[in-house]
Amino acid sequence: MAQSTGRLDSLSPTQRRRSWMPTWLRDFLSRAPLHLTIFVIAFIWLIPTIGLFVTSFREPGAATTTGWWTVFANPLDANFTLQNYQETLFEHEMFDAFLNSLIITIPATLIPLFAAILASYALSWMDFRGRFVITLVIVGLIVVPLQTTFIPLLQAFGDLGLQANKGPIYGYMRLWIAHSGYGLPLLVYMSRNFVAALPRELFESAYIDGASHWTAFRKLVIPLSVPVIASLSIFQFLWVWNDLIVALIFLGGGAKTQPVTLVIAQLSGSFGQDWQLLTSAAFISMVIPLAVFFALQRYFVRGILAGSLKG
Amino acid sequence: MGQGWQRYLYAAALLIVLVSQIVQFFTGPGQWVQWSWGVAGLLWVLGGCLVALNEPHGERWLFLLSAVTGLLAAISAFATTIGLAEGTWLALSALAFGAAMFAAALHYGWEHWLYLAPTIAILGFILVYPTLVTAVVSLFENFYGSGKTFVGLANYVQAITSEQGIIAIRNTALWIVLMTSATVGIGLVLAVLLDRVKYESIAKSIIFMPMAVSFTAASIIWQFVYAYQPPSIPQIGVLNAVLMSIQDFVSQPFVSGVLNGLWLVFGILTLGLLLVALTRRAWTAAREWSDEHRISSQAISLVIGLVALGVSFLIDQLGAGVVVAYIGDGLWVIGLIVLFYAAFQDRLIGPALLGGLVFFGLVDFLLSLQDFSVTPWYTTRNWLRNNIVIIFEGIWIWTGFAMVVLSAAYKGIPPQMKDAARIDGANEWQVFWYITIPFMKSTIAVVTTAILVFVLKIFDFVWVTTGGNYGTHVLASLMVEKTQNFNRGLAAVFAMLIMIMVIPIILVNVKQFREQEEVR
Repeated sequence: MAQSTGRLDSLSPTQRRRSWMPTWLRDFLSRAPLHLTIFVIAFIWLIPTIGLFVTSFREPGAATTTGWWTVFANPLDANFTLQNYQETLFEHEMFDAFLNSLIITIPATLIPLFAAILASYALSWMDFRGRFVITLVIVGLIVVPLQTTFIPLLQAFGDLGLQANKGPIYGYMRLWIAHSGYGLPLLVYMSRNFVAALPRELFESAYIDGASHWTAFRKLVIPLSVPVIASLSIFQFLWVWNDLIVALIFLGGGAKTQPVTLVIAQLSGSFGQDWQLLTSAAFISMVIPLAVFFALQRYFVRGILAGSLKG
Repeated sequence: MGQGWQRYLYAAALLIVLVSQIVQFFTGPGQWVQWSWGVAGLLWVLGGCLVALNEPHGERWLFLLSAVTGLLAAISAFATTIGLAEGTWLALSALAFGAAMFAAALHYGWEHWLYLAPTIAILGFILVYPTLVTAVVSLFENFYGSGKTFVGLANYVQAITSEQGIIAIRNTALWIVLMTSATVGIGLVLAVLLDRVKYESIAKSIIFMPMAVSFTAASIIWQFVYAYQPPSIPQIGVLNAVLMSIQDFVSQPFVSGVLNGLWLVFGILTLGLLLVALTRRAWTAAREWSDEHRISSQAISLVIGLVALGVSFLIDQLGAGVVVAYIGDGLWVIGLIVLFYAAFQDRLIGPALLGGLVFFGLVDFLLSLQDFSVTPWYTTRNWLRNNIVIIFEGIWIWTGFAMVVLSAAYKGIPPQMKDAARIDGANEWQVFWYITIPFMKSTIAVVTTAILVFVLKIFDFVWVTTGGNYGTHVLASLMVEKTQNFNRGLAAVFAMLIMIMVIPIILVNVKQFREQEEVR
């Protein structure tokens, strides 16, 4: 094999010889490509969202005649307005949709999360035959594309008396159950990784002291898994809040029960040219997920990584 | 537990319910369904009472409780006939059944089933049952209508051989390759680079933010990037506007001359470096063969790369059908990737080659912009570009996920490892290649799996942007379209195809999962 060529630092030899150059400048120059790469990528990632944000404050019609970046040329003439937000929130029922989204999202996050933590305790700390197989089957269900389930499920919901036209609560119940099912395999996979990695001695001493499984679950597992619970709840929350297709298929029940995503999809159908409405609606829909994400960002990573680093 | 023949009454009841449900699934509902449920319920009552009579121990109450379930189930089966609310009685019997099972689980030490019950119940209802139904439906024509006929695998054959099906499979493969490699690649680069700067958390938030955006909002966001106006009026899409202004710049005679010169220089340089690197590789491989009579992995990759290029050249020359042409194009790309990968591994020339390639690509791109004209990005006749443009939206959303996970893994590498390598004279490139990558292998595998599985199910982007027109259908979107056209046999086939494609990915993970289990 070729021998190493020695230290090929990012500093070139010519730069190193020039002693007149102050250290900070030399450091800066050697690190310039690094910063440049990061800035370019971050810029590309940010640009689309900035476009959305700016357009949502522009006057009706402005978006289709000039590019949104032209407002930066002379910001004082740009005529920004808050009217778009007022219109989407109250005339197009974005406010109600916001509440509906919360009604749908919160139970659809809590139910599967509780089920997943329960299951992962059994799958990692209770001894019984077939434990491995059951874990495998549950996790293997990740492969099922959710579109596969729509038609049989619609029929089954109808047979069980959960018809959407009976009232809003029935539509919501269908969504809660469906989202629970779609989220569970991944939630079980991740929470099992975490719960199984808890120290064995902790459980052994608890059992020796006469703790039942239920006690161990309540007093050990739940408090210790707070970080993973937080992170998984963000995960599931974002997924349910941002979902369009499941709500479209299972909600039914007319305009009064619609979540945010459905309203936006409708707006983009019927007001396709009113960019200012679409953009403000889209931005409203992003507020809660972004707030949740930034508030709990630390936990997010910790949960995804649970157990996977040791493997 | 009752050991007598009485407990077979339970089994009989369950069997009756199961068989009646399956038959009903194929033939449709009828009066006899009620009767079978009623009979099953009464058998359940009988079983409960008889076992309770035979049971000398304290378990009597358990079986009496289960008898209540049977009674309630029998009543709910005939609820509509005798003028009762069916839902209420069904709920009551479910409640009684739950209570009986709960008590039995506690009593007999099957406690783990209690912890698993919610998960198994939900998953069984939402995922397992519908998947089984779909598997059956995929074997029938017109399953939900009149004239239902069993056609075996005919739907599958039709799906795979139809033009739409081929396009969807082709695009799905493109999504898998591009999106997975781009998200994991960019995520890895960012994870390593961001570790060296002070503004790491801000930059990470920016890259990760799209994960919090719904597909609906994302599609609106991206319309502002790809928007198209006729060339005569001002562009409102960022991409068209930016490329047009770059075009104005590079079309100036002076700039154009400089760029052409640079193109030549970098082209020759890159080609030369590639040839030198490949020669060195071949040389090393040959020496290893003559010294140790061992075929090295380098030799294999060189041969694979050259053969792939050769075959693809032949296909191109001979001319062939659509499918074979796709294979030829794929081989061309694979051959290039394999050869460049082999060349990059050369410790001496690899980094310079990479730099040369990047600059050459940049200059070539700028030159190609001279012929640019504004375009409606994903509604053109160029299917490849339509797809790539849409795939980029997916990359935009999912790179943050890959970056965050990979970054955490990167920070988990013991710093001594990297320092030791540096002291031994390794450069940053070698540290990355020989320390960082091997250390992060398992995390890279996890991230790749997650993204692969996600990509296969993705349909929102395609649905919102083109609705599958302009050669952009993927399996998932084609499936939704077939569902809406009430061609449910074909829709079921596409769903099954997606599932079949995910299974190998999961099997690879099972291996890792099992190893992890053994370590515990």
